[in-house]
Amino acid sequence: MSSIDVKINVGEIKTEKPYVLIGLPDVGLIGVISAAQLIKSLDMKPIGSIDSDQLPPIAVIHDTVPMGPLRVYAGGNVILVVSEIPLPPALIRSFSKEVVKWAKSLNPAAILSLAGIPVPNRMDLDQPGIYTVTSEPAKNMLAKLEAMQVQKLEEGFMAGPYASILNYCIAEVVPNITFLVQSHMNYPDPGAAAILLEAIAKFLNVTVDIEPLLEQAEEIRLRMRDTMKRTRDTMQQVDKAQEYEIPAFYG
Amino acid sequence: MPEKTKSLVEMMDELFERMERSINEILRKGFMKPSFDLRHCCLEPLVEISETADELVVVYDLPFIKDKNDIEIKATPRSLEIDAKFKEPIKLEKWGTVQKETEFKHYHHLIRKLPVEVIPDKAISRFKQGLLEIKLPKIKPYTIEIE
Repeated sequence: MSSIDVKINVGEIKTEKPYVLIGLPDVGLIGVISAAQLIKSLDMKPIGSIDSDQLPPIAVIHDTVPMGPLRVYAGGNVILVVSEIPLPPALIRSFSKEVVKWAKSLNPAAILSLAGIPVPNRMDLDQPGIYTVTSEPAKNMLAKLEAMQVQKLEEGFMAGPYASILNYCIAEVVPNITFLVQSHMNYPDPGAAAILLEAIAKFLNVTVDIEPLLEQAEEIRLRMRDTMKRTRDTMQQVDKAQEYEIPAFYG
Repeated sequence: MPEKTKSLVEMMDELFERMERSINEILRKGFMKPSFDLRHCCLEPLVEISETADELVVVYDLPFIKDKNDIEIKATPRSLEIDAKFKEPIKLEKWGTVQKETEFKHYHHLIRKLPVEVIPDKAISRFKQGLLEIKLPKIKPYTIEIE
């Protein structure tokens, strides 16, 4: 299998034992919505970008400033990897491998994935639940998660970029906690992202203002339609619908 | 020499096939079609279509629509059309380029060909938190007895 070149352009990071958070376009755009709010709320600063020949030639412009779509931010003991465009399926493995390798070099407290898990009855759920999946080296954080009353995902499938990151964390023996909030699959879900951020803030012991997500929920849903449409295309290619299914092995 | 000619033809066929696949892929992804219509001042909503054994379920995401009375749904056995009017026109302010000049007045979406035939007058719908769900019962095939 030929590997695809992924370059992480970030200078030296001096933060000891940082938490590395990952926010990518996926189910309900949970990762992107959460990441955008974290950047604002924790006043995080851009510290670098991620590039690959497999990425489409895209520049994003925010407040007149052009930038690449895959960026790295830092604030306090938190490093955040975020993408504003869905990762091309052919890039997912190489991206995950390089990001995990790079994060491991920072001797992180853990990699935290900000993800959603699709539920068909989301329309009827006022308070979506949160599930977590932890890699072996993150087992020492289970008590903390239990105290937060988040549930462990006992049986199920994960598909897409967060599954790939989890797999490389297992292979590289890096602590990973994937937070999966119940959400819409094909619509931006700021309400679910707010619930996820509450849990993340509690876990990191920081204050994150989630009010803007609730107040501007309709605006977020409207402006993220196009990103959601493109993400839906890539989710189909990685067979995201498999997350509704039950694995074959039984005990 | 005939071998070389054959190989060239094959290569051309392959090239055309690849080009056709790429064009279809581009069209499928809707690169050529923006999610707004400036001429009619309308936005295209996100839509998801799923099927159960008996029903076709179509769900639209309609942020900024507050009242079910602002939504019109029209269905035939093979098509579905919705139109939802904003109480106040939506201006996208600093987002994008051409679309920020426009005041959008409604959502509009037309499915010209549903994947199965449905019974429109037996359809039910509900509107909750800006999501419109339409359940269209499928036409059941007649059972023909063998004489």
